[in-house]
Amino acid sequence: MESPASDKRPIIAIRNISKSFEHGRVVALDNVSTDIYPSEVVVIIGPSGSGKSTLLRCINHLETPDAGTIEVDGVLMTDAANINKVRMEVGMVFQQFNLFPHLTVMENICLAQRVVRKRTLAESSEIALDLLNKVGIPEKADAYPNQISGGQQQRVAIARALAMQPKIMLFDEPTSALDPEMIKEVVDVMLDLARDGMTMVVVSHEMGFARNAASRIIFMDDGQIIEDSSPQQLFNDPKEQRTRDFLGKILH
Amino acid sequence: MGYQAGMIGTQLSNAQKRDWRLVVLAVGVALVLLGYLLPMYPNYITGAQTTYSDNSTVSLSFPTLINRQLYTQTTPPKDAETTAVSIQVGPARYLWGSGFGWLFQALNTNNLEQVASFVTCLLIPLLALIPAAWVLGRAWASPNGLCARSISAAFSVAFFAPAAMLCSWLHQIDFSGLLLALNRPYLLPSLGFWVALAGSILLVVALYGLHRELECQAFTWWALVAAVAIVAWLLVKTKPQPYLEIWQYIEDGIWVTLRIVVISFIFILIVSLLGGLGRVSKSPVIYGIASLYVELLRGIPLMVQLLFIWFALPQLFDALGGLVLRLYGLVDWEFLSSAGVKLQELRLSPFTAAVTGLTICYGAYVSEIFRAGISSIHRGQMEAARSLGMTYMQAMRYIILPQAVRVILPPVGNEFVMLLKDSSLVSVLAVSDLTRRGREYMARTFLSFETWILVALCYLVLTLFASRVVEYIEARTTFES
Ligand SMILES: Nc1ncnc2c1ncn2[C@@H]1O[C@H](COP(=O)(O)OP(=O)(O)OP(=O)(O)O)[C@@H](O)[C@H]1O
Ligand SMILES: [Mg+2]
Repeated sequence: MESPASDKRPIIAIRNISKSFEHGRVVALDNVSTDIYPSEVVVIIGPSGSGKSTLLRCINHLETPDAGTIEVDGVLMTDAANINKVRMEVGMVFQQFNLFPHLTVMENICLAQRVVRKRTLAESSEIALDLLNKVGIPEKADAYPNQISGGQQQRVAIARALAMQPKIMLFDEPTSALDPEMIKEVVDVMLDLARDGMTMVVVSHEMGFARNAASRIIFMDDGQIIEDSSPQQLFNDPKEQRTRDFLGKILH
Repeated sequence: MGYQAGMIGTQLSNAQKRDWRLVVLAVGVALVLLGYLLPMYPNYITGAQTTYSDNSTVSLSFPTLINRQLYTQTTPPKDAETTAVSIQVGPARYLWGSGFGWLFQALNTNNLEQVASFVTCLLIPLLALIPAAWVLGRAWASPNGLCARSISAAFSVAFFAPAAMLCSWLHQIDFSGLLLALNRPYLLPSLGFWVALAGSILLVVALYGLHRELECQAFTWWALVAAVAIVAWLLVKTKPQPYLEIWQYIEDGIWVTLRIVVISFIFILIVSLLGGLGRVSKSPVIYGIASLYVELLRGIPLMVQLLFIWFALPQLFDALGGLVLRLYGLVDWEFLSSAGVKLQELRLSPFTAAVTGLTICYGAYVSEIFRAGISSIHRGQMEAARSLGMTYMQAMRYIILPQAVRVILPPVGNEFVMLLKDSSLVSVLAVSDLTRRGREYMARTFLSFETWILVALCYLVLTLFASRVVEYIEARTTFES
């Protein structure tokens, strides 16, 4: 992967954001800034509690930053109207899948298309079937989430986010709730997406994905970005001692 | 259990087909049928002659098949007392007075109305035979085995069969003729009665054994409702004096009660949906208002709330109207004067007051149920919906509430049954509901026992029925999760 094209405008511009919880007692993000460019695949790693999820959730405003600004695709996320507009452009995949248990796989994928994008039933089902084919489980269209495996559920969750035709996809530890034999099927879908040029921000310790697809790796600790470099640089010759310690722990 | 369980199929081997319970069941069915063919009540009371202390006599012949307490109701002449009552007995006409014979004769009389309770008693053992035969037929014919549902149905009916047989005899000899009958052998039931009684007891034993085996419900819900309804109906039929009269008096009260309960419940659902949403709202104002409502009203007894609305609210309207009129004196706006007068004269009708009181009070309880239901849904569901671009309200409407309904429904159903019972309190507001009609009747006649027995049975039928409807709806909305 080539380095970020500096001539392009960033699709996500994060400027000096901070976020704390419990009345300032827990600092989750401490003055974080970074730019993400179209078609980049950014992998965020770091120890537990370092603020990776919080950063991701600030991008689509599931958490409101205490200070700083985030601009997504040129739209500043401040007032409520902009938030819903931006959320349509930003798909999110959760560690716990968060499929809607009372709806079938098909309905899970179609619902938001119909109530948010105002598509007809026929249009939305066509898109849903396409996406189910893409993630490899067209035969599960009429199953309920509790009737399919974890790997299949996560692939449905990816399809559900893609159905909104987002420009950016956020993944928060998409494989860490999965049994080892199911990780590959989800990672394969993500690799496909990266190859198709989707802008992706991925919180994951899945090193296979990071090596194969990442254009940049961000290492976070204590709510700050400690290191931000290419995979080769970060894996082979990390600049910071903290990065070295952390990589030593997860790579053995 | 119940319908969720549906059919519990148990494989029967050939050895099990000769299971003692099935054999006993078959014998029971045969004995009941045989008993109804043999003479059951060969003689019956055709009339009575009452002798008074002044040697005058009054003779009555009973035109109907079943006698009533007619001979006790003849009034003795002045200054005379009843010295003797002699009962006249005649032979039964059809099929030597067998069970089927009596049924045939009863159905042929032109005042079926009067013999209806006797017919009911005679029919119950026969009704029990239908599901019992179904159980037997399935056990013998198909290898699929036993159907739990038909066993509980058969048991529910058969359970009442022996008692129904005894009741039919009481009808034959009449309650007050019991002592007479006991020392007059010709009034005793004969062979057919005892055979059918034995048969129906065998049915109960066999079906009880089978139901234990399958661990199915002993009583189906409709059997309970039917039993209570039949008891109430028999009271009305066998002792029209006073039960029929009470029934006619309180009947319209049932409709008033139902109307109040159903209308209040609709409002309660609306109020508590808003209350529940308010209690999970992030806006401190909305949350504050909802919490104030819930905490305040849950702490005041329903009775006090009703009395407040009925007696204190008009005063409040009066004072408010006065205030508006005073304001009119200051600013001289025309519409204020008419509004002030209207407010001063505003009175809630008893019905509106009752519905308002029940809605406000129960709205607070049910709001809490809604809140608990909504917050029981994992927050990841809301986040997933929001991340797809849905608004808060869309996420509530399509994602959170449909899932919360399944949590909310059982306790809300219970609240409905509670509401049905608590609605009796609105009788203090001059609403002619079931309870108030009972009180009015009792005040007129002083027949307290009879009145309240019948009122209680009416409520019992309503609540039993309502709780089963609730259970049915619950079963329809459960899903695998
Ligand atoms: N809703 C919340 N309320 C209170 N504290 C929170 C909340 N969300 C996050 N935190 C705190 O903020 C800090 C950063 O959390 P975050 O979830 O971003 O970490 P993370 O890097 O994603 O960790 P993990 O690898 O365990 O997921 C943690 O100390 C966490 O306890
Ligand atoms: Mg996390």
